[in-house]
Amino acid sequence: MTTKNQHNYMELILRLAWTDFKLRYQGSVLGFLWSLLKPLLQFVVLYVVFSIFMRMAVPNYQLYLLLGIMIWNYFSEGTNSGLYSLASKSNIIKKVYFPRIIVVLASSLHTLLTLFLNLLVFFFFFILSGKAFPWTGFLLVVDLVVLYILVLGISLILSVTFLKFRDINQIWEVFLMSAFYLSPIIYPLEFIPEQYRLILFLNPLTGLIQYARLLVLEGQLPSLGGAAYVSGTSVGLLLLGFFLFGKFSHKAAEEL
Amino acid sequence: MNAISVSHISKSFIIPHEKRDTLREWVASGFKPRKKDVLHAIDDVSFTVGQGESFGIIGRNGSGKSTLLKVLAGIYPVDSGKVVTNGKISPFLELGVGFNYDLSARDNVYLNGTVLGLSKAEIDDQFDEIIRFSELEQFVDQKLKNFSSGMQVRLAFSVAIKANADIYLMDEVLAVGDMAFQQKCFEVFRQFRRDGKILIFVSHDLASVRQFCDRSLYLKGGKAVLVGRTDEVLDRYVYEDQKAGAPVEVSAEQSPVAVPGKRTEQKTPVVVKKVRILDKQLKPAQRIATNDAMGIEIELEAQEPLADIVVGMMLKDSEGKPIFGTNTEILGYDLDLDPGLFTCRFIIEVMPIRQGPIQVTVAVHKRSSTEHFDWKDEAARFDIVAKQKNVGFVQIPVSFSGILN
Repeated sequence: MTTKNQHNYMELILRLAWTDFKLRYQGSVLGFLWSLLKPLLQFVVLYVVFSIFMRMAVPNYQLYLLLGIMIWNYFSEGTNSGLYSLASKSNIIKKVYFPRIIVVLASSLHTLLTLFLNLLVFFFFFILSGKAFPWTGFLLVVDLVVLYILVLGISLILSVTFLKFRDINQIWEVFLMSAFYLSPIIYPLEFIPEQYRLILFLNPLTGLIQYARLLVLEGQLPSLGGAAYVSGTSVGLLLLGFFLFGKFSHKAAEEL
Repeated sequence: MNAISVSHISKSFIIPHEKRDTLREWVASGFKPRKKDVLHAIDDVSFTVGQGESFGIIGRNGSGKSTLLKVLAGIYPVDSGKVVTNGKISPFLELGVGFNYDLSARDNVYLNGTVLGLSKAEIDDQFDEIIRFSELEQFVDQKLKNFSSGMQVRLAFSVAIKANADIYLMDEVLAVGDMAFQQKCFEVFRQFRRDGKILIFVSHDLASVRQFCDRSLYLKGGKAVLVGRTDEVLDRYVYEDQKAGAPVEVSAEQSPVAVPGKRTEQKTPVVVKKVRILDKQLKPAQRIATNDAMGIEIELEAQEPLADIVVGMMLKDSEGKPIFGTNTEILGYDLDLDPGLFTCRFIIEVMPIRQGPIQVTVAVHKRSSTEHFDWKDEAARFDIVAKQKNVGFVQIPVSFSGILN
């Protein structure tokens, strides 16, 4: 099938992402402020429970926790929205041809927008804390790029899997819940006995959260091996995602 | 160079006997393969559409028309064969693709336009024109959910025609809007044709196909029966398999859908067994051409000798509104029946309805009594197929005088 088409696919990605973002928050009084309030409320609850009730002694625990929550939220919302990305756009997919990956890209971008808004809140608190911003903090961008790659890769895999197995969303929900506790979000990695730490690091999200804190809060660089492992698994999952998506997405219009 | 060339394409769908779309169901069944049927939606179809040509695709429901259109649009991949298209394709497979009811008309124009391949700058340029064409100037910033379905369709159509494509794929979109808006749409299509754009047209409205399409394809069971000049293809479609048109048989047990008047509850002494539609050669048919003669054949079974029987029939449109009714009493017949099977016919000499699906209701009762012996709503259905390019519901004999002075 050859089709000469001058479609501007970038515009379509941005339009779909923007529409999703807009729809998500319109109609509520606070509008997109909700996207800021959600992690803040999460933060308050976790902070009260772990810092005040359980007296977790971690320096800079507030910023530490906030950054972890924001990265976690992007991961969980990004992969969840990616899982439904083909299915939720079935009305378009069944009627118009365009490369199907567009809807997954649009979904990953619209959640990315929420992450950026959240980071603004984080840096607002960072400035309030009076801490100095280390030069390594700029490398957070690299950390987020790898995070985006990870989320996109998993989204691609989940979106085509969902075409065949309509209960994968339930499985993913359980997986996300356990991943929340298996990633160093509320507790620092140092709380884990040394011999288990490596197992926790198998989860690339552990590294991504840990390194973001290292870079921004401690002014340190991650170990080269760790960074290579995290980037490698993320890129690996993205490639697997491209492969599976390329293999199964062309029948999406028939299976939706 | 042809705008579209389709060579030997086939497309089949696999229909598993058992629904299994969750992991749980697959695990429960031990991942054993399912039994399945294969539906050959399109079977070795070839045709070409030249530059500047309009092409119609006709066929009954389930003949593969929409699947073919989706293949042309690239939505469905083909199993075998090749589709080559030259030019930008805009699928009108459905109007308002991507419309979201929680967004304003303005946002939806941008969303729908982008889905159809327009850039933001192009939509900016044409926005006012789109809104003017849709006649929705006062409602631009209202949410779509507050629009009537007619307004939504008008908006969708107005965006779709701006898609600025070379090839427009249209699936039954003409049945939109009121008469005035339809005329506007037709005017746009004529303009498209003058501009040398290509229209691919899937429709049940044969009159529109006749009006707009140079050539057509008749699909039947996924196979191409005939590709050629629209007139020839339509004639083949209208008159073909008239003998195969199975009469709708009414079982005696079937209860009528709605029974006006009283109906005897005891064992009915006479029942309507079968109702058949006949064409002008008095052969069973399901499609009748405008202005042709036709017949309605009714088979009755009487259980006992009966005198003063009246047989009536009523033609209704698709919404059940009566179009015409008559009975043997009005026609001046006295019917006395002996026990046994009887066949009788109403002959319609000229069918003045221009087009559309028609249902036939048949009733039997005793003269000067409101009690029906039997009453069958929708005892048969048939389609009237227009052969002229006029518009409207009835075919009025008309001529033009020429310029008189």
